[in-house]
Amino acid sequence: MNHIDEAGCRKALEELAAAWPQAVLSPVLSARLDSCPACRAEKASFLALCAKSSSWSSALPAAHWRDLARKTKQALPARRAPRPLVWAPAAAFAAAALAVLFNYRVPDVDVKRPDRAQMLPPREVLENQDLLEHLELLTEWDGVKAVERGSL
Amino acid sequence: MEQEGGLIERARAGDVDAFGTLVERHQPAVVGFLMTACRDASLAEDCAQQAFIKAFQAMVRFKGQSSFRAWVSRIALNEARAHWRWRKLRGWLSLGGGSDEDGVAEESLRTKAGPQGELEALERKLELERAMSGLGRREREIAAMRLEGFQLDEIAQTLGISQGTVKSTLFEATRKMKERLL
Repeated sequence: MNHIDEAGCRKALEELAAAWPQAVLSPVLSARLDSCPACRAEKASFLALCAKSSSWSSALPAAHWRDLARKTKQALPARRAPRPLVWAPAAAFAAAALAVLFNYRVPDVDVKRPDRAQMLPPREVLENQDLLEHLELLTEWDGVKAVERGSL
Repeated sequence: MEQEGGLIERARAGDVDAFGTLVERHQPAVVGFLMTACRDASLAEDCAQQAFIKAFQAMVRFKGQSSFRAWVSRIALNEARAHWRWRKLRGWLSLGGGSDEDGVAEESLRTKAGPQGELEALERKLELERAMSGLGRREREIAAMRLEGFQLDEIAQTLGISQGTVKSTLFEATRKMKERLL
């Protein structure tokens, strides 16, 4: 098994990596790493890596950052100070308007419905229903005969 | 030097000068980590500038649950990621084209460096840059923020991960860098 996989060493080496790139180690961590030969070797290579990382932030001249900050400030939009609750009266008015709107009911209108008697066929038709059906049959019969005669 | 809390309060009230001071304080770190993470100095500066503008517009929503620098860095990283996605899509649509990103980054960094200065430091930086090119995206982002002086909790806040994940990722990142550099 790799020594890094051992629980104590793995944890100590993660703490060591967290100190990159400043390489500021607590005395407790340093002593723990020195107590194990493999961890001691890891610590030595880690410190070499930190040495190579030390000059990281000095690559760009300070004037460049000043110029960049000036450009960013110029690009900032004009923004007014926030005015909290300025929308509150408008929201209250809108809520009241909605409440009125949804509670409004269309008043009952007295709609005159037609009398059921008026919707039925005339009385003469109803009384002669049998006769009408008979006439209808006759008409159909005439049609059959016409077909037989070949006149249709 | 005015305290950060006071500057933030004034900036939330719309004070451009106070916000300008915050820009001066934090822009180098935000640009620096983006520059390392995306290997494109111009893109890093553009994304950082956009992030500060968005941050200014949204200052009233900043509740101080994370540090101001972590908050702006998160906005900047989202800007950069959106750009990467777009660039990837564009590259895919044009069937690749294979740009040498490291070459572009190095050229870009050399252009940004002053004529008189710090060429040696720049060379050391580029050496470390090359060592970092073998890192995964998350490892690279964390290493880049660490190099710019971000604390572990700030990195965790920026990326929305736990400090334990930050530590274990740093462990893997430093191991890979040691293999390449030493």
